[in-house]
Amino acid sequence: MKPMLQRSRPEGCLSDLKLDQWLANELTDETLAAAQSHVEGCAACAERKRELDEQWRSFAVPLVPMPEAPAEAKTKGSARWWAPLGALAMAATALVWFQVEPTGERSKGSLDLGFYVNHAGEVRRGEPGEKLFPGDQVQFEVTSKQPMFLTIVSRDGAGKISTYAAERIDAGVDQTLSTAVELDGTLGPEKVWGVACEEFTAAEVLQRDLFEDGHVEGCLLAELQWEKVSP
Amino acid sequence: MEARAHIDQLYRQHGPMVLRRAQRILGNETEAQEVLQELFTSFLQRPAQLPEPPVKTAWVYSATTHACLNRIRNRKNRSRILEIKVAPSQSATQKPGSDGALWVQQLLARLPEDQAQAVVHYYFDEMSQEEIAEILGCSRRHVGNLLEKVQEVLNRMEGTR
Repeated sequence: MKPMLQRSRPEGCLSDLKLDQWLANELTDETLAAAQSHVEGCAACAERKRELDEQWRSFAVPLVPMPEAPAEAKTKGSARWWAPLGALAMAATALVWFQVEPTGERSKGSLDLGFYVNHAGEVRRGEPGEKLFPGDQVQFEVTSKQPMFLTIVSRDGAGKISTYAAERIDAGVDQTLSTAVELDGTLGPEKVWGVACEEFTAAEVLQRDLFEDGHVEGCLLAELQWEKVSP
Repeated sequence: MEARAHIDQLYRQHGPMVLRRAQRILGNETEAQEVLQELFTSFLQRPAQLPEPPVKTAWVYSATTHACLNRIRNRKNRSRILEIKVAPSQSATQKPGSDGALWVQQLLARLPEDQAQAVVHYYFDEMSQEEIAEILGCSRRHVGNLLEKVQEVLNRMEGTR
């Protein structure tokens, strides 16, 4: 079996489900007594129960909003990622995304975005503005002075907006992201923005701010562009 | 407002569990937070999908697992994001274990739904086969068969790595 699929506790130990049911007071008296007895003699399960209990106590993610109050989705700052993520909201905001071109302003600090391209098996460092081909594979790299949540947003030659990546990055130079993208057949200039925020921001909300306001408040912005041409 | 209060309570009770399991399944904190929001937004918009209160932990487990596996499949089908590495190796900046997480994502994306659920519950949640059978609504023998099939896929993937 693959090491990454190994179970961490021996057979007979309490599952996470059992521990979660314990924390939710769902166990019967008999099952609870058996679980308590097991944990008293099992360091691994006692530690796991402590971890789950601690996670529950420290949970500080805000509640989602009432669905009939979409105005909250426009709120900036810490509340912005409460926004509902429905397709209707996306369709509505798409109408205004194209009114403003993101400026590439940097609110503070710095963020640098680069990429590698794999063309027909040959990997090279990409240059801004260069010509790429459908089927080329692109992997981004980023330099940031502090840990951030990074989202890579693209607008292709047909105006289609996509999120290519969204992950947490560390402070560091030339960090390659864990995913890559394969370019589709849509030709023309494609612009790519890297948006790094100190707090998590849902991709849909971030895209709305980026294309409505031209920037995302409190976030760093970096951009690059390539031209997708026919082979 | 009664439904809202009920879902608020559900969120406070089970939100940490949903977030923790989504992080484990998706291997990505950002996506896990999105799943958390999507799931509870869905409950708010369509509360009829919830079982009669009190909503049990096992039901929330299933809902979370479905949401995460759907996201993994949608990610594969919709977004053109590749589960590959293009750039040269940069071990100094890679997070430890990222290859392993990537490999598990590939596995979950290619497995049928029931086998992927079995993987999540057996390896991530460390459930017994009896617990998995209960949560999937099938026999323990069937769970054993699912895990055997997963093993066959693992062996084939091992052969092609």
